[in-house]
Amino acid sequence: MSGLHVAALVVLAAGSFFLLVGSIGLLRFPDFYSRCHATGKSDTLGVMLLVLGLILVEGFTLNSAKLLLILTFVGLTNPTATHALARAAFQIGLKPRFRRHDSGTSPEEKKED
Amino acid sequence: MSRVKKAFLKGTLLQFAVLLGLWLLLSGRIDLFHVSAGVFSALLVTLMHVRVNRHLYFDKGIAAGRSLRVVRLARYIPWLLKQIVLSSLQVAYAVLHPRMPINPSLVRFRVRLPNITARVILGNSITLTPGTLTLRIKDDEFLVHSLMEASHAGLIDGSLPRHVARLYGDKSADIVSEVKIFHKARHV
Repeated sequence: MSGLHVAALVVLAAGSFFLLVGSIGLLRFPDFYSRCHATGKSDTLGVMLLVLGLILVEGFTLNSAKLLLILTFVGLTNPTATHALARAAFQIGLKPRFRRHDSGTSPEEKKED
Repeated sequence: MSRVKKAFLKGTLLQFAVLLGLWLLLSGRIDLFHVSAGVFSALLVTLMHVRVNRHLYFDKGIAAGRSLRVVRLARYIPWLLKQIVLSSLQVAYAVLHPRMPINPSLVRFRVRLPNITARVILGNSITLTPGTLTLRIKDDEFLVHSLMEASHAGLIDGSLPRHVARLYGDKSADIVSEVKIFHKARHV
């Protein structure tokens, strides 16, 4: 196994790690918006690292160029889609949940009412 | 020929060249049939796109100061990648920590950027950076959902917006103003 393959393995493992973290975050985080953080973003780095690992395996070929294109388009579409989702949720009035893990109303807020 | 018209023609030709290059890259075959089909397709798409391009170059609101420095982009992208890695590690830590130390908040601020494209770049960069998520852009007012305090630090001290402004050659120090951080959704 060459050094390049080892490097590719490390990068692929790191990419899988971040994808896994994204999925765990999706399950653990409390509300829609924080879940958007988990899926929309850990995926960014995860997918980027995976594609980078594949480029390392593939070497300097036409396929690598295509993978690089995938990288570019994921980088452009991923945040746009996440923003579209979050914006839609915000516009229909879904309130973000803040600290103090009850349903959106904090003790301070109750005091003010 | 006016300057705008020249830029429009240049942009259209550039678009054709990029489309053709993309075709050649994806097909990977250089023979008469494939190349001529590529020229035909690229030409067709460019022609279909002329009206959108006209809008881009002649509409004042969009066209104002749209001189993105490609050289600066080469410095911006590595910087952004570094930010993405750093904040990914922060988010990963928060996800895996048993007590899950997140403190969501909404951050609202105004930012002075030269045009719409710059705002799109900033909005996408914010969303691309883990821990921050662009919720709304209204004129020059951004509303961002932030997962942790560390996540929006780079926003309110203005370093990320400054990097975007630098893409357009704007080097002024404070382009971010009226920063407000909310821990309740009611007042937004």
